[in-house]
Amino acid sequence: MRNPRLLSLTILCTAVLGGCGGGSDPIAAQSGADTLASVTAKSREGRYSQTPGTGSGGSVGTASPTGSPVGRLLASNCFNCHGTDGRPNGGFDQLAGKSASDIANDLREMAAKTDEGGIMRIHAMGYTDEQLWQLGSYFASQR
Amino acid sequence: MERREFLRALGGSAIGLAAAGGAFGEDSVTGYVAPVPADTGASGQVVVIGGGMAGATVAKYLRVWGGAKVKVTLVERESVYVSNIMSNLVLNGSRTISGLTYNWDKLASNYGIDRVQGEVVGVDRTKHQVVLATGAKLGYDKLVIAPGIDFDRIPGIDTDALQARFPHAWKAGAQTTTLRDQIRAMTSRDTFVMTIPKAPYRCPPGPYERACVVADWLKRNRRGAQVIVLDENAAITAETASFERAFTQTHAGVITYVPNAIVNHIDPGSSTVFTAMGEFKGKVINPIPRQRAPRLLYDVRLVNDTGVPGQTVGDVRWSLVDPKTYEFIDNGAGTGPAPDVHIIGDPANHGLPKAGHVANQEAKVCADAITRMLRGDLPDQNPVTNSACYSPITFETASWLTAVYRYNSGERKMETFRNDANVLAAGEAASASKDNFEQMNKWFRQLMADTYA
Repeated sequence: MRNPRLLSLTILCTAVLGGCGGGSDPIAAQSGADTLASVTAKSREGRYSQTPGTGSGGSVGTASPTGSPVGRLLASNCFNCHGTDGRPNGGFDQLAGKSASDIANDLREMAAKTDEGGIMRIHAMGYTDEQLWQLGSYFASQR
Repeated sequence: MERREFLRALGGSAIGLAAAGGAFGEDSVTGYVAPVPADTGASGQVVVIGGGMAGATVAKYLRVWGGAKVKVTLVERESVYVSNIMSNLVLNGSRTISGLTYNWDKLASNYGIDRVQGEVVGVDRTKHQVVLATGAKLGYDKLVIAPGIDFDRIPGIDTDALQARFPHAWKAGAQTTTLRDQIRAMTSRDTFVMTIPKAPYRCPPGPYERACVVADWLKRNRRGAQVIVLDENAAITAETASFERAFTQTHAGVITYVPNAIVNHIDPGSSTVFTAMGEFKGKVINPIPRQRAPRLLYDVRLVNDTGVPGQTVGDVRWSLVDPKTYEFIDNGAGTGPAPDVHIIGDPANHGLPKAGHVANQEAKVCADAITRMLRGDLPDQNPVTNSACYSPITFETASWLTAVYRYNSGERKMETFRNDANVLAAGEAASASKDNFEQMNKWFRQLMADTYA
């Protein structure tokens, strides 16, 4: 047996860990209330997407909703750890029933953090503001 | 407002099993049972082939999101599913194969999924029928194929008997316990030699994690024994900083890492791996072979992708799909089109890593797309997926790797999300920790509940 080569120490640092010092998103704090209002309004009118050929698009609170609720597919990225529909079984925090603004604001706060490398910071970085509101709205609707 | 810690341990009640080094109890899969709506406007028959992480999840969410008029038949040849996730912890005795074993009973009873145990031998694309080995035929409006992967045979150990003696244990089950027993039979003068296949392969961090778990066990139980990692790739393919730290600090003096070690053959008599970087003899050889789509996908002519960007001919190993819907893409490699056929999980190529957590999320995007299409709607034009995975570094510490992906409509691929400041939403743990290990157990339990309960 030959002498195996030892691990060469190339530091392949990801762009992420060093790259977040440039300041947080200025949009959030200013437009938070407006965005919430508009998303809430949108979600009341169009919680279920338009459905060609099936008559009325359904409405919030019906037993058999037609269409796909806004934010549901985005929110499903959280189900893996936070439970189906945000209802965990002894896992991580429950998201079902939280307000959309709490969820979106918490996630934005996590994304802006530079001093800790928690797993949620990375997740929070992966969505636009609009997407955060949409997925938050879905969990808010799960009461 | 008080900042909420999404991932903080609830009440700080640590289970403590891991720290004690004891075996984990069987993880129960119970979770919230979402209702199946009577009518969402979608209707049709969906056949799902394969009940692993991808297939089980798509079956569940087709019912929850599609409603009772979307009929789902899950065809699976095995009677149980053994989780690959966490199976490296069978090697150090922390977990057992029985504790990692799941079935489809809850999906059937909770969501009304029809189960068929059987082997699929054909797909009639024109008639929209799946053909079983028994000759039975199942008609479909939409077909989802999630059959997992297959392994190349390494020259020198290409018989079934030799494969059993030199287990890859990259599909959890009997081979995993064989490998565990081989490791236990080592002495403090012995060497464990493992090989890592050229990417892409299932679970990018998995082989490096295995090296760490085995090294950690040997250090504590067979001090002096060595681990040699023969990597066909030019460098560690995932969670690079964590594993470099583990190899050069945590497990320094135990693990020897050899990149570019293309495997030529294995001599079973002398228990030696012959590679481009030399010959390596070990008491235990754990060769993880190169991987490809399974036989079924070749038989039904749905394998058309080499896995090498820009190379469409040659060694085709994977199925090219559009991750907006996971519909098969005919790329001109001779398969012809396959309307209404969706392929999810590890054999599909779409820009995402091949891993169980990712497969769960692919399945949700696929279920949502099929539900919308069965209503005559367009699929979501901007699907998002995520990858999250924890890797044990010792019996009580773990690191993690995570990323969020968005759809690139021009490329028809998923790509890592990049924010306005040009920062990628991807990263790994700053260090391995006991806290991460605890989170890992919660992550696994919840992921399996989202998939099988």
